[in-house]
Amino acid sequence: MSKINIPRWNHKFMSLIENVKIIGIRNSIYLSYSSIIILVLIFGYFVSYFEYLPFDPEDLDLDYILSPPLTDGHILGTDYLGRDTFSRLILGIEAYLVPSIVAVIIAIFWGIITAVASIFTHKRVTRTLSMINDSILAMPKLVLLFLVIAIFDPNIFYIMIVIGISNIPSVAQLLTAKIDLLKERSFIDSAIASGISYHSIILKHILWSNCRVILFSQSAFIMGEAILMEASLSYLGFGVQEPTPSWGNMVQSGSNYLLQGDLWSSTIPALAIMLVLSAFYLLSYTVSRVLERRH
Amino acid sequence: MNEVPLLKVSNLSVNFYNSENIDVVSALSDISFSLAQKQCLGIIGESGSGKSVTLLSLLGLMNTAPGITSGTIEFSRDDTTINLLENLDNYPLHDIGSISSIVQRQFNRRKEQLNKNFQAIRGKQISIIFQNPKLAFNPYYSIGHQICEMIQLHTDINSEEKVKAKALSWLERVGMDDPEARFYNNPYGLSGGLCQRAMIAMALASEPSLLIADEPTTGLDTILQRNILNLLHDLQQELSLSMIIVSHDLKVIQTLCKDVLVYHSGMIIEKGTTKQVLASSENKHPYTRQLIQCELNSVCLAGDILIQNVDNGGCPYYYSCDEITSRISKTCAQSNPSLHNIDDDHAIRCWKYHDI
Repeated sequence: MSKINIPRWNHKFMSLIENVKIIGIRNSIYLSYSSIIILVLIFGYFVSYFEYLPFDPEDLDLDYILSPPLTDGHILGTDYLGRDTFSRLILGIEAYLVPSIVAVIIAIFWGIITAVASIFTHKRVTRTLSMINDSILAMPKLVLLFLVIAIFDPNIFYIMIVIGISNIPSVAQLLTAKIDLLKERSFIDSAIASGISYHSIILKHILWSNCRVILFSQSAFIMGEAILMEASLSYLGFGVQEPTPSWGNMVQSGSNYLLQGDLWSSTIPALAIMLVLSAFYLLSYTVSRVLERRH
Repeated sequence: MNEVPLLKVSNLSVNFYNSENIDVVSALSDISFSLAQKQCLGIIGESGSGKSVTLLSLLGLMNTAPGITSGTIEFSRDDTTINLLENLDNYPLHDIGSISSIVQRQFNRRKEQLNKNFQAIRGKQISIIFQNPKLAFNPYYSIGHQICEMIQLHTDINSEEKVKAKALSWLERVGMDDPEARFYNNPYGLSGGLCQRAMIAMALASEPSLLIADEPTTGLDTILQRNILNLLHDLQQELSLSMIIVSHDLKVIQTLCKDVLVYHSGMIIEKGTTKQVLASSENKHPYTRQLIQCELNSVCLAGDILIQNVDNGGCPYYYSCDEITSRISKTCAQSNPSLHNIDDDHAIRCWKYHDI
């Protein structure tokens, strides 16, 4: 008797084409786009960390002020002081990558703790936590940021901590709603009845298996938001200060020369911001679509 | 019978609050029964009579206040008897008339204590098969993964390959057509009958001494029902399990069980061997008689059986009963009878068999 070949999801290594067939062509295009951009970001971070840059990013070269791309080794041109845009772009990754990861970790970690605590503990804890969440939600994000900048220095880590904290309520609300639904499902009862310990039920059967979609898509979303926030604050002059490059202040410095016809020095960092943001937002969107499938 | 029973429930009472949290509703009152080793016990009764609540209480899964209010559940293994409701009296529920913060706090402490008590026997000694097998599996893991989890948790097998081989052998034993392939199937990829088989495999994978089946055959067609029942019967013989089966289907009880309890409005109204209760035509509670008649004729003879005589403390079956004689009618309306032994193992809760 010949056996029917049943497609199996999680036990055997599948070829690339099989994977694409399972998750769909559109999703795989989105996924590969965002993973390429994120890999490039991480690679660029390490390049600037070990200082393998083509030019010194703070080296003024007054012969090449505002030159377009591909002039004498400056791949992406130079800015108004003749500094190499490509090197400054790579160095600019340092300004937000690790800080936004901090923001994501804060938001997700405290979001999980808030959600689990508000469901599995007493009513009083639940009420207090939801009150704290509501007061965070009620505070305008930008005002809070300016407040922190005014009290402390314009350090990017303080800004990111504020962004992380202001994202806790959204993560907590999504998780709370999901866990509240799951708690009534009979597989949780069945897990309790088969003697699985409570922390393993919460961590494995609730958070990992059923809520990871929310966690992954939210972390990609918060990452995108943190990067956008950093860029906007630097553009306004509150974030990373010159001469340290960040994508926001690069757009700002280039924008003074936009009307004179020198497009490159401001459009290139703006394009880079757009690419990275779209990568993270698409990742957030695709992760939820791919993982939600009940294969 | 000098042998120590595997499970002995005595005077178990469970209460719930009604929807406004101001009144206590009795879900189970004064439930007592015992289960010997390798015995198979059936529970029948109408929906809402407390069958599932009994099963959930046996595993400590009652999640609503005030829950179990009194009684003992004694479980014996290897010559030691443990009371699963031990230390609950340390947190007495005074004044459960309406739910208050004091009752809620006390209830939370009782729940922690219950969980502590029951953690020793959950899965390891008592396993449960739920009504809807598809909902009882975690939808994001394959059934093989979940069976392996049970084996790792409750048996001494450690190496991953041996655990997998054991899980496959269980899947084969419950009659899966292609265990190798089904191992990686998610519960939503299985048909109802296969899912029920997988559920049985998961329940037995921890090698328990008592298996509880909560309506194991509802939602399956007749042939599959017969298959699953045969499977349960064979497994019970092979593994010398004790079993408690809840069912609406009298035939299921008749084929599988030696003893049977009949529930009505949270009380045991009749208990005895299956032969005595379901086959003989003589001494019976009126409700049991009606149940059997419905099964045979598909016609319900009495009126609305949902009206219960709870308010004035009489027999709950008073309004539906068609066997009230002038001798007992006054007593029936005013007070609830106690279980009366009319034979060695046969007891009935009806004034008809009392001397008034």
